[in-house]
Order: sequence, then structure tokens, then C-alpha cells
Amino acid sequence: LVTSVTKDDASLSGKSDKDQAEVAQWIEKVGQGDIVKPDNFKDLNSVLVPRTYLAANYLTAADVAMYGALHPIISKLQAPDHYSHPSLTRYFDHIQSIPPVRKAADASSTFTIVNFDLVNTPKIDRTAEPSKKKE
Amino acid sequence: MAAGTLTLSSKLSPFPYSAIAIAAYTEKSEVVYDEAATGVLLDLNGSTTDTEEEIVHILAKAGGLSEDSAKAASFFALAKTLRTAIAVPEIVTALDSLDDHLAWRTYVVGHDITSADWILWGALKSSGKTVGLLKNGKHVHLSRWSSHLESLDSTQAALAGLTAAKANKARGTKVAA
Repeated sequence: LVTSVTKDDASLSGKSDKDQAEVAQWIEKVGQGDIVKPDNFKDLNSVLVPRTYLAANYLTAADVAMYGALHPIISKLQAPDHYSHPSLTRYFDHIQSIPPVRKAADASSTFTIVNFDLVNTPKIDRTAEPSKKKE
Repeated sequence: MAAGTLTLSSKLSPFPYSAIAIAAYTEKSEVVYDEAATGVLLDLNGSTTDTEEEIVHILAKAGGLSEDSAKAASFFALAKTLRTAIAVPEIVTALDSLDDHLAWRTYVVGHDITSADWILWGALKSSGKTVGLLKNGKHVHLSRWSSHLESLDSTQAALAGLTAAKANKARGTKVAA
């Protein structure tokens, strides 16, 4: 999946040296597999709170890799699990709907779109939100 | 290629951040600083517009941003509330509702940037009160969205243009038209 999305667009591996290093680091982390285990979703959710994309401020191969690794797990979860990780749900929904990702995912038939019910989302708890480190 | 011209003064208060950001994002209008201007004026394909809301609509349309007018309208109304609200509790309520909304969504409407994102971003940016309230760190999702829009290359270029215009004014030199 990563190769089929990235082959058309060089910017996906990072526009600067710094971005490229970030992308490579994230891909390695995703490759190790621990980060996408449901037990670690809480940590991953916190990581994603201040981020729109994983490595840079635009779509990179790291996001495609993360999407590919998350899909088998997220697609099996039910709404309450989605609701307990708002930022992860938001991130996944964003990446899966970006046109180049969608195109490659549709072509492979493994990565079907995951529908999220955003109408009945629970209220965000405003009592205990420690300020997170900003990008 | 820029087809239009957006003329404004860097001294305007509140400053029309939405207009300069969407002009840069859509690349449909060049931004010209004229310190004698008393408002903001868009000249696109021969027709002129002088309210920021209308300018954002027109540039979004010209730039081919996807629109869902029914949903966008409620966010334009919210942006207006943010611009005009004076009482802190009223602003906080608006920020809370936006934060709830953006907790689940990358952009305000749909999966792409739309006019609703720019009108709200500008409304937040132009008010010192909302900027201050956001710094409290109580609206992490809203902050993520706002810093993402601000970090885009087009927004950075628009803000750099504004800074340059202000510097020119300070030196008393003429701003290139």
C-alpha cells in the first residue's frame, strides 16, 4: 500500500532532510508494530492530539504506513472504542479519505473504508485536560 | 495564476486574516497593501466585493474548494459570533463547541479545507481575546486545527507579506502596488 501511494509523489517521503528523517523514524516505529496495538491506543491518541499528520504538516509515507497498520484493527472496533480515542479516530478518518490514499486502498480491496458515526459522538470531557505539548 | 487583486491596509482592525489566507491558499488573488485603504476590497474578473465574508465565499468558489453551503452557513454564523462577542463566557462557549466538533474532524466541513475553515481561522486570529483563551491549552483540538492551517506554506507566505507591509509602513516608505 505504501509503495502504491508513494510512487507518484516524491514529496511523500518528506520535503526537507528533517522531514525525511521524521518520516523514516515513524515508518520504523510502525514497522515494529507495538504502537498500533490496541493496548497502546491511549498513547497513540495522545501523540495525535496536536497533530494533523504524523511526521510533517502534509501527508507523508509515514501516514500511509500508519493507516495500513491501523486498518485491520480499527475496522474491527465498534463505535464505543472509536469514541474513546477521538484524535486517533479523527486522524484515521482523515488519512483514509485523502484521494491518493483512497485510490490505492480501493485498488487493493483489503482497505475498505471505515465508517465513523460522528453524529452521536459523546461530549468531550472538559474537566481534566492537561495541556499537551504543541507541535 | 492570480486572477484578482485584494487591496487592503495593514492597519485594518480587526485585520481580515481570513481574506489574505484564502487568497494565498487558492492562489486566485494577489494581495496588495495600500495604507490609504479604509477597508478590504477584492477585484476578481471585473467585479468588486468589499466584505470579508463575501470575499471568502468568492475566492473559495474561484479556487474550487468543495462547499456544503448548509453546513458552512452555521460556521460563518459562529465566526461572526466570535468576532462580535465581548463577554468571555460567550466566547468560551463558542470555542468549546468548535473544539468538540474538531475533536472528531480534521477540517470543519468534510475532509478538505473549505471556506468555513478560513472564515473561522481568521475570526480567531483577529481577536486578541480568542488568541489568549486558546493559549490556556483548554482547547487542544481547536489548537491543532488552527496551528495546522497557520503552518501551511500559503498561510506563512500571507503572514510574511503582512509583516513586510507593516515594516514598510514603519519606515515611511511607499508600499509597492
